[in-house]
Amino acid sequence: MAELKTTIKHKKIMAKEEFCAGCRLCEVHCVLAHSKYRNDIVKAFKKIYPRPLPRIIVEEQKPISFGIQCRHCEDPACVKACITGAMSKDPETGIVTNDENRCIGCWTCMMSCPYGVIVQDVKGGHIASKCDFCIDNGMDPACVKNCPNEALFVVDQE
Amino acid sequence: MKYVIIGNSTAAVAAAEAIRTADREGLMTIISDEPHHTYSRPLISYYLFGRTDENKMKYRGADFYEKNGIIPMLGNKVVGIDASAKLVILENGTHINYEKLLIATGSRPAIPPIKGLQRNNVFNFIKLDDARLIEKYAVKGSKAVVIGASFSGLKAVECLVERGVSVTTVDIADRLMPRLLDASSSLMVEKVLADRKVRVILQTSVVSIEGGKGPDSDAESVIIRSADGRQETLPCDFAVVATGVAPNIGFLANSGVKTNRGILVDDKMATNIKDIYAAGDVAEVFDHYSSKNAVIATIPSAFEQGEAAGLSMAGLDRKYRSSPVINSMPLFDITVMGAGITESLLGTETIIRQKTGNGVTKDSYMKFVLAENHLVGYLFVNEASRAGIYTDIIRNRIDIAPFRENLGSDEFGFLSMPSSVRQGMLYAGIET
Repeated sequence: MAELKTTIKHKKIMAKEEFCAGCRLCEVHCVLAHSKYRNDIVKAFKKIYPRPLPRIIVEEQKPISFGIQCRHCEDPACVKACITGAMSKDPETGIVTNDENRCIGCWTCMMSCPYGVIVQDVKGGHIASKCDFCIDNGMDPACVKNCPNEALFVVDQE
Repeated sequence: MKYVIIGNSTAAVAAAEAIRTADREGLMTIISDEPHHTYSRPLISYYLFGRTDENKMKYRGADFYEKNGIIPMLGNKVVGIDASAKLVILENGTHINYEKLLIATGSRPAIPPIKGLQRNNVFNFIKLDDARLIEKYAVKGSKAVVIGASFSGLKAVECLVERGVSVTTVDIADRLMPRLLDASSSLMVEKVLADRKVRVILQTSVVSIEGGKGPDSDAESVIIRSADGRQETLPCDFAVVATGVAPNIGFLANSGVKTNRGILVDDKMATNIKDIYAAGDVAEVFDHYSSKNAVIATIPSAFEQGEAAGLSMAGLDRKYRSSPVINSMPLFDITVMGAGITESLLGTETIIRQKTGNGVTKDSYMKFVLAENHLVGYLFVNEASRAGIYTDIIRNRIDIAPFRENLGSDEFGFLSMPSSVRQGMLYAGIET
């Protein structure tokens, strides 16, 4: 029986590049998971404007590819660099999230993230966007769950 | 333990939070001359054009002081420190004693030698109360002169334009934000301003701000003189002075705290006086990237310094080491980012990648500054994707020789670097 994870402290999503086919289903499911049409890919992609951005970045130089996203760092550079205090790390869950009400899109976080995994969401106003470990989906990352080759996995650092 | 922090912005908050990770019992007081809950100063331009409000501007939640056991003494100005008696002296005569003191008083506006600055409608642009004063004057159809095309000056220009003010910006340098931008990138920003009907006047100094009779009466015009001696009178309804900032150290004159441009600190953020520390815009640190002392007036640096100071004050052995200095500025529909050394100094090499927009993408500019085989800085206009990877390449002094051709490529990422470099950056400290 699936256990509801209540904290991701010490957990990270990592990629196995030897299994990644570059299909980008992780991106599709990330968009789906962050849209209001959680179970309907067609509606999520075609009925929402602006379409939510994927928060996983797939790098590819054929034949190598892998997905990379926010690692919810212990010592998050983005949180320290954030000029408004919008970016914060939840002390209970360990998840780093961006308060979209306070973010003004200065992009300083993009300059500080050593993985380069924060993206500019400009259609809905200037907001920095990144992986939130599917905090609204029971902390069960959609990208990991839907990769056809299990090329994404959660690693426990404890 | 009794901790006293003078300051209420990024460095002060970072220090307070760091102290609390180690010491939840010690007493803590924050003293600020501003009456406001801790707030983000760069947001004052967003406040002026309605993108944020006083509540959203708070840097930490409304319960920040309470939840961290901090006594906030807001609206109290510090006028001196008696280091031998360990007392902070307030303007109202009160003395506050401390066991460990952090000075995080930030920046004050630099005052240029211009006659007429005291007039009622001539404003600084550094804190919330400046924005609130400007609000009344910055009405649609009014005219403003912004003196100083600094980062802050240009953000003032932006919010005034959004309020329907007709703006002229004047600077003595030959380009906008001269310490950050080069000629090419300045031209790109000048074009954006011209598109928004801002008149940009460079290589020109301000002689005086003239107005009615009486020294405090409202300013009505700004007299400027260009490099070739031509004088011009710019009529205005108000003026904003944004010619730079300096560390706020005036009150330390008789304290014995050693200062240069800023308060001198070691790698524990300690000053020359025992139990007195300094952090943020007010401090002068050793910058490992330029190999000299510097006042690094950015929020990311203020946070790191404040955090290090707080940990030192709480008795932990944590040394501060400067990070590459980063600045990101969105301005209208352009974004400028600068990291590390953005000037082509002696001994450096430059790689430029310039792209023309195709209607969907914008014109963009990327300059990489290299010293031997290391990236020491970058300057981007309208290129933000994966920028942090470049910052990390500067930070870790990665040898870029194996992949220098890939710098600035469209899909730059970890796969643009050799496998051994990529493995190190992606998997350092992680067991799979």
